[in-house]
Amino acid sequence: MSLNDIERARLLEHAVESAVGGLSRDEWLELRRQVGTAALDQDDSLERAAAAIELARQPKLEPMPRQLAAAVAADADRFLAPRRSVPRVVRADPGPRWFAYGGWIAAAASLVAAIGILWSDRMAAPRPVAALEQRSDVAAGDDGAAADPGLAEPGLAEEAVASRSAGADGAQRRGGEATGALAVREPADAALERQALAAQPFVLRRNWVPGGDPAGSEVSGDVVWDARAQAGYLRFAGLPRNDRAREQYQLWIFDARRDARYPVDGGVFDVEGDGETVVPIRARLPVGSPRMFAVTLERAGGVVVSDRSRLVVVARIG
Amino acid sequence: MDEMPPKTDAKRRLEAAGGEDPAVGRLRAAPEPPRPVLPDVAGGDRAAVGRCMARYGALVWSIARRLSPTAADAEDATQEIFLDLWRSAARFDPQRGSEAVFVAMIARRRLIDRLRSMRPRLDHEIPGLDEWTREVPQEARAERVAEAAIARAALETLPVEQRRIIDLSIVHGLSHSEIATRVGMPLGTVKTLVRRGLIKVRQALGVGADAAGEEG
Repeated sequence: MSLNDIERARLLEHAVESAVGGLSRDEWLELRRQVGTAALDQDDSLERAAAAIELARQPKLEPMPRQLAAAVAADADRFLAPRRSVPRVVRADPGPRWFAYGGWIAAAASLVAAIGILWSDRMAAPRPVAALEQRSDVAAGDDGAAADPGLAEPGLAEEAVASRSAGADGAQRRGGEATGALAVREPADAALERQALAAQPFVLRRNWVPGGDPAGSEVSGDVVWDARAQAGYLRFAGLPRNDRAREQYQLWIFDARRDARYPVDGGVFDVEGDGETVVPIRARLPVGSPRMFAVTLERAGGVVVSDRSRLVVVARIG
Repeated sequence: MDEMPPKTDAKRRLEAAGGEDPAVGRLRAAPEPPRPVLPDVAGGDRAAVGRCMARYGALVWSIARRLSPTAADAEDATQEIFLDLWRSAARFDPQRGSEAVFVAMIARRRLIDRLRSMRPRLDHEIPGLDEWTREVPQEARAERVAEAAIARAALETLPVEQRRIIDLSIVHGLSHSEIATRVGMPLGTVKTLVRRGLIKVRQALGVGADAAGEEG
């Protein structure tokens, strides 16, 4: 059916109003009924024109907030997860807003006060067996093309996603692995690399204290963290093996520069031997100023929100 | 080495004119944009998602912040926009325009949809509007996108009052009736000015059925 001039003019008017948001919802639905969804989707030239005006008149670009970038990245993980063959995905999601940081601190503080013991870092000779799960996307670590200089704002959004690539780059520098779904460290390498890092004067090093869960009662060891490289190692002795089909250890990093409610997910890992275990840290987001490292025992694959019911060990900073 | 991105119609027009497009006045050709990332996103490449966020995160957030009544709304909208972007990544066609315009279009669609839903309760209360309506500096960074430069040149041929109305409509998301109230013009005049302005830009971009001119 051909349109007469009046109908064409009215249609154009509605299409313009649709492109600029001038239609009410009812009018918009009516337009789609009249013209057909496919036709409207096919001719998006007015929307493109509006988008070009948007770009031309953009007063200023504002970096995306760090937490929002993390949430968008986590959404992307969930969206893309079914397309990949990775059986378990460790999320970078900072967790829903009801995540209770205060509970974490209170639990750790009360434990530290009650126990009052600083654990010795004298460890047996390394006999490590550890595997830290890593997503395939992190392992890819491809920076790709440079950001469009006209649109990209080197801000927190970029930082959030870049950290994942940086983690993988670091892994590749250190061991040349991280090309698959799991980044399994050669135990001897991890122990040696941890030892080399721990000897550096600028790294942070703290001993573990039990977190209250029986799994942590006999644990000794430490965490070393290099803020510049955003890398570090967990070392454990006495941490029981886990049944990885059922449960896994999960690291949480509390960062003084982030919203206190959202600790950084440090990934899940397994203990497969009885001796010393060394696990490289793969923080999912940049850690500015760590306040506490905590290890929980969670269901296989890790969780977005921990109920802290199985707080294994903690290492408080400052 | 990255392959060169396909040239858009706008880019071809600029280059064919030696950097001067007779339809929009003298322009310097925009720098070659980086290779698109959306095709890689459509292929499930997680690293491309990171590049996409790094490249367009600030753009999407800035549009969302401007077209949302509160920061919380803008955050929700931004998450929805990026999900829309992942879903529609396969539909991006570099022959039809730049990736930046595609991203801005997807963002605007989502935000307009949200505005439609909440418009009855917005009632002119868009914070900071007066500050936003000031003139945009000539060296706006987004002008490095060829279509943005063409759009700006086309807009500059319009009277100042019409440009302001287009800004209020497209950049700040006010409804036509809200604009009519704000500037003290009849609603029909506002609609006409917005329509003509948008069509002028569409003609300058050389896209759509009315490239030959439905109305000008």
